[in-house]
Parts: sequence; C-alpha cells; structure tokens
Amino acid sequence: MPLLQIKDLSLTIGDDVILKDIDLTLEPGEIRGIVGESGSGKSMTAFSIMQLLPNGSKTGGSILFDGKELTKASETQMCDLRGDDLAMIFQEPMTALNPLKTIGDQVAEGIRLHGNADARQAREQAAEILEHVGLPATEFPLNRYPDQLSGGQRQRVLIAIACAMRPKLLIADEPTTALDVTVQAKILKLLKSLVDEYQMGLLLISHDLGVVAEVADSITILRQGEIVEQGPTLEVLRQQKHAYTRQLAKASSHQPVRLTKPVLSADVDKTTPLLEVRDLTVTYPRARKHLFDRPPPLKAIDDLSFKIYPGQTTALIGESGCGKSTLARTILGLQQPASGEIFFSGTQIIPGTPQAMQQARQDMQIVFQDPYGSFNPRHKVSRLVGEPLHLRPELGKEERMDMVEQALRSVGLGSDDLDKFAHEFSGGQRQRIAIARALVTQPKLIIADEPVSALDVSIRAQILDLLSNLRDAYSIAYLFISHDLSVVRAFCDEVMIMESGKILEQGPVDQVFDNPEYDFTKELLDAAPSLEKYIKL
Amino acid sequence: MNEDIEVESWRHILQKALTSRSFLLGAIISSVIIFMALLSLVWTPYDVTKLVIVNRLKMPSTEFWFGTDHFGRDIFSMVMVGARNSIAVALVAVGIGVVIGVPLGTWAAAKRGFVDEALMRFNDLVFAFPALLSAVIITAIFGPGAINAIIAIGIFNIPVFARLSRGAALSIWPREYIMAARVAGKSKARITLEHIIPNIANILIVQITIQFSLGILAEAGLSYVGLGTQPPLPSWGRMLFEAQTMMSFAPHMAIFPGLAIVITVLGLNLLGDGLRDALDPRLRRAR
Repeated sequence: MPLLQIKDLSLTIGDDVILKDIDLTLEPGEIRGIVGESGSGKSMTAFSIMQLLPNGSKTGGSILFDGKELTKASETQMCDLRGDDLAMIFQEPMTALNPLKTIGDQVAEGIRLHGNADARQAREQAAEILEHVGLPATEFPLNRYPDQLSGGQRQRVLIAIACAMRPKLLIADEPTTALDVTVQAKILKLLKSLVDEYQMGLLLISHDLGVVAEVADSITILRQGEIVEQGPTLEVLRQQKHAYTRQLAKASSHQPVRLTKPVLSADVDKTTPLLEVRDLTVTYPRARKHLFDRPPPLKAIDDLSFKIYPGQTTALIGESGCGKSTLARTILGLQQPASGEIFFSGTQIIPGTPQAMQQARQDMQIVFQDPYGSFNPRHKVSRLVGEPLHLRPELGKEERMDMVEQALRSVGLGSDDLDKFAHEFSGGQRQRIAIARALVTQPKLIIADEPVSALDVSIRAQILDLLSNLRDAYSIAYLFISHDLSVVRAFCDEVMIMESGKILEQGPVDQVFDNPEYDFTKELLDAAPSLEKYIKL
Repeated sequence: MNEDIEVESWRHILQKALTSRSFLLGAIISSVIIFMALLSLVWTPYDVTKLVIVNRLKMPSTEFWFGTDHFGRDIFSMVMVGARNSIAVALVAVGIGVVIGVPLGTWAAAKRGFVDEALMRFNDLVFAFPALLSAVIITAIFGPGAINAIIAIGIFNIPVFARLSRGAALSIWPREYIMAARVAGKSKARITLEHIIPNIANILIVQITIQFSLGILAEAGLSYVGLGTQPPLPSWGRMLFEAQTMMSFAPHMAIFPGLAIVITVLGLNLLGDGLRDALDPRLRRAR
C-alpha cells in the first residue's frame, strides 16, 4: 500500500477552482517532485494534505495517508498527525523560526509535544537530530538563537524540527529557493540522505526543474490546478510527451538570441570604458561590544576594480552577503564609499560633484528583483515610468509623454496601460514596467539586480529575450547581478565572480565557466543544478 | 503578496469602509454632530446668550427639548453651540499636530543620524509630560480662553504625529520604489512629498480621528476647570461644571452635555476603527 494516495482531489476557494482531479501516489522512501509555475496549485496540494487550507475552502475526493482518510479527519486528529507523521518545511527559513527561542528549544518543543520525553530527554534528542542535519552541538550549541545562524543553517534547523519525530511524510515547499546555490546543493543532499535513512516519503515542491531532476525519483507537473504529466523523473524529462512539459523544459534552459557580437574586454580595451570602478572600498560600522570598543569597520567591498565597456553585458555572480547589492548601490550614488573612485564615460562621479552624478544618472538606471515592491502603489504607470525624466527638466509635458509611451512600447506594453496602477499587472508585466522605467531616459548602462529570479521560468525566458533585444537595439550595457549561472551563461558576455567583497576572477563567460581558476568558482559551478545534464544524455 | 494590500485606491477603501458597521455608525454620528455644529452658526432654537430667568430650571419638554439651565437658557441650543466650540478647538489642535508633527517626523526619517536623534529625544521630553496637566499649566500661565486651549492641546499633538509619521516613513524608505526615485535623482524632500506621505496617509488618517476625539475630551476637561472657552459662549465642559451643584434637582443639566461628549467621542472612535479596518485588513482578521 502506498504511503500517500490522493484520488480525484479537487479544491475550490470561494468561486475559484484551485485544484481539479489530482491523482498522486507516494511510496515510503520515494521523492516526488511537484513542479509548476505560480498559481499552478502546487502549494495548495501540500496544504490540502496538511489540512491547512484557508477559510472558505471546499475539498472533494480523497487523501489516504498511511491508511487514514485525511479529508475526513477532525482538527484534533490532524494536530496529532502534523509534526509527528506529517511534517512540512517552508521556503523562507528567515521567518519560519521564532526569533525569541533558542534552536535547541525549538527542536525540543516538537519532541515534547508528540513524544513522551521529559525536558532533558527532549533536549538530548534535539542535540542528536541537530547533529544529524549537520549542526553538531560542539559548533552550534543548543542555546543559539536563529539570528546567529545563516540562511542555510536555519533551513537545517527547520529540517531538524520537521524530522525530529521521524515523520512518514515530509512536504518541502520550495525548501531551497531562498538559498545560495552551494547551500542549496548541500540541503538537497541532506534531504535525500534523510529520506534514504528514515524511509520517509518526500514531496518536493519546486518551480525549478533542475532541482527536481537532481533529486526526485518521480515528478508531477501541474498547470492551473491540473496534473499535466507525471511519472519517473528521467522518463518524463527525456520523453517530454506533453507539450507543456516541453515548454517548461525549454523555458528553463532558454537561451536568448544575441544579434550583435558579444563585447569582450580584450577586443575593446583601447576605448573609454563606460563604467570604471577603481580601488573601491565600502565599509559598514560594526556593533560595539562595550562602551569604549572601537571595532574595525566591516568591509562589504574590499579594494575592488573593474571596467564595463559600452554595450557590454557583464555578470556579477556571488552568494548572498558578498557585497553585490552594496556595489550596485554605491555605483548609483546611494551609498558613500570609504575610498576609491568611480568614472562614468570618463567623468569622475565618485567622489565628484552633484552635477556630475546627476548627469550620469540619466545614463545609468536600475531594475530590481522584486516586481511587486518596486512601484509606488498609489501612482499610475505613466507617472511611474516617467519618474526618471525628472532628470531632464528641460522637457515639456508632451515630450515626456512621448518618451514614456515609447519606453512602454519597447517593452511590449501599450499606451492604454498608461492609466493603470501597478497592481493591475502580473509579475512579468510589472517587470516590463520596471524595465520601461529604466529605459525612459535612454540610458547607456542598466544595473539589473537579479531581474529574473523572482519570475516563473516561462516569463523569465520572455524577460531575458526582452533584455537581449533592447541590448541589440539600443546597445545598452548591463551590469547583471545574478546567482543563476545558467541565465548568466545564456545572457552575458563577461562574468565577474565575487566573494566577500572581492572579485575573484573575471573574463569571458565561456572561459570562466569552462576553465574556472578558483575552487570557489568550481564549487559554484558544480552546485548549480542543470537540466541539461539529465535531458541531453 | 503583502504588498497587494496597500495598493488599493482611495475610492476602493471608501467602498470597503462603507460595508463596515462601525464606520457607518461612526460616520452617521459624526455627521449629525457636525451638522448640528454648523447649523448653530445660523440658527439655534433659542439665543444662548440671552438669560430668561422665568424659564429657569425647566425639565425637558416639547418647548425645551433638553430643558433649561439655572439662567433659563435652552440646553439643546447650548449643546449645539458647544459642539461648534468643541469641534473647532479639536480640529485646529489636531491641525497643529499634523502640520507641524508630520513634516518633523518625515524629516527625521529622511535625515536619520543627528537630526533624527535630537528630534526624537525632544519628542520624548514632550511626551513625558502628562498632556492634559500641561495644558492646564499653559492656559493657567497664558490666561484662559479658546485660543490658548487650542495651542495647549495642539502642542501635545505634535509629538504624536511626529513619532507616528517617522516610524511609518522609516518603513517606506527601504522600499525599492524609493530607491528608483533616488536613482532618478530626486531629492529627499521631493521623495517625501511624492512617495512617502501618500503611502503613510492611511495611518495618519486613523490617528487623526483618534486625536480628534481626544482633543474634544481635552477641551471639555479644560472648560470644566474654567480654562477653556469663556462665557458667555457655552461649552460642554463648563455646562457640566455648572450642572455639578444642581445635580440633585436638575440632573438634565448634566446628562445632556455629558451624553453629547460621550456620543461624539464614541462616534469618532467608531469612525476611526472602521477606517482602520478598511485600510488594513490584516488587523481586522487578527481581532
């Protein structure tokens, strides 16, 4: 008998049909990946199993878990199951832990709730399980607080909490999406070894086909609440029987076409660089340990130099906290460096006069990662996109509107969108508006801070195409900040690998990726999940 | 997507507020009071400055709806004129708080560092005094009267709005659309006007209704001790004071101005609650 058997599961919330005819089985010791884009119902499938659905939900069909019918279970019965036989981990390890309790207490809490251990035994068991997930008490004492741990370590604590009672079924909802690639690889490995050891079933929910291909035995592909295709992972991915599977796989390894020739520094080093950063150091003050303490400042960026030539797309790769975003903010003049110089088209802007900076800002714009947070919710698109035109006060009202409309057209939106608010658009459209805002002053350089990592794969492919087309049409240079190596390889001309405020190596993408010089780069490249490994065999 | 909660337009918020029982009730009560106050400017059943001794201490009747006081003045007319005074004092006092407090708070949030520290510590200092007691001192020093009462109450509204708007503004500053505006070269003052204030307006509006009701209470308190609106203009607080000695044989003299204060404050609080629920659905769910 399978561990989990879902039959004809349907779910409606209010008038919206969320899930339809979901059939799914999971054996003990099996990892099943559930893949889909946002709104496909993958998280709702998990919440149906946990019976943690929002108010006003109606379910139909049956969920048989270990011989028990969950759709008919009472809340008391579910409370006994949750955290004991049924466990779940979430995407965001930063918010899923209680910041006021030590990690030991948080792991022990579940053990005391469901087992019959006393406080001391529970702590001992907590120490054991934490060691098992890679947090030995010698290095990570039980009395640590969550804020003293990194994202990956926190996710390990969450896994420890989930696995403390040796659950029969573990549901992991995007467990590695918020983590760096090297950490992601380690967490996936840990999950896999726990599944083998405990013979539990694992439902791995992800938007990333690469991640699922790496660890899952079987795969279920969801679209708009319905199962498109399911079966053994390799079979599904190689045969790609269903058109949607093909589309998803294609979008995941999408390569935008570059019409113009890649700009390599070696070929153009005689010309004036568009952006030149010289010996830049940016520091943050560190917290005082006592009243008279004078701690040396933390170097977020440490003596860093690089050049970007006109029309060149340079990727900046690094793990979270390495100083990528600080660098972007410093170049844009939003943050003061401790030392160093920045030149734009040969003019010194940092340190420089406010006029020089204001002049450079016309040619330098930014696109952010989060298409939801980057707009004032109370302004209409015409005003949002037109904001940078503040830099060109000489323009009349009509000229401004023309430029806004032109920018909107070049990202594939129309003038009928001018009077809408940002929330009336989907995530992908919002990112187009963000790009339009960056384009409106016809800049020479766009700093793109993870511009596609919050987007679904198919939309990611469209936005990459758009960025690529704009690059060809207006010869824009990009500083493309990313942690996604496959995107960088497909899109960028040159790459810089950054680690703790320093640039380790830089060069043409192919050269760095094929012959990495540093162990860190190799590690990064090895850790990146890649679909090609599994499909093109 | 928490962000989606905030993106509602004002029209949408109003529509939602109108479905809330407390907002509707509060709005009805407040508009009745305001209507009464406005009406008193042009018409009252009797002249409140004229003393007609023959009519003194009449119980409520069809002739005098709320009865008369010991000078024979119509209490209903006095409550109407009192509403005008209370509202005027509270309105201007809240206005002082908003007009001075919000710029100070948003300035502190934009500048940070020393300016922020200094302003907020000064704020703490003002906060440390019990507001009503200090208002009594101010009016006692500068002389009783409506104007001084307004200033005294207004001064203590400043730190309330400064602190609130600073906190709210600080939560908006790190947003990416603010970064985008800074990249567009806009000054901090301009960003505050264009981006910060419209996005903290909802919080401010709720606070305005609360401070407004507190202002009415404060005005009543000051008038009660004789430091607010001066005779012959009637005010709710002084009506209560005058009724005090006659409670045993003319309770209507105290009941009606007392009810007026309670209902006005209740109405404003209901209005504020309803508005807050409409503006922040998360709070409603939590209750």
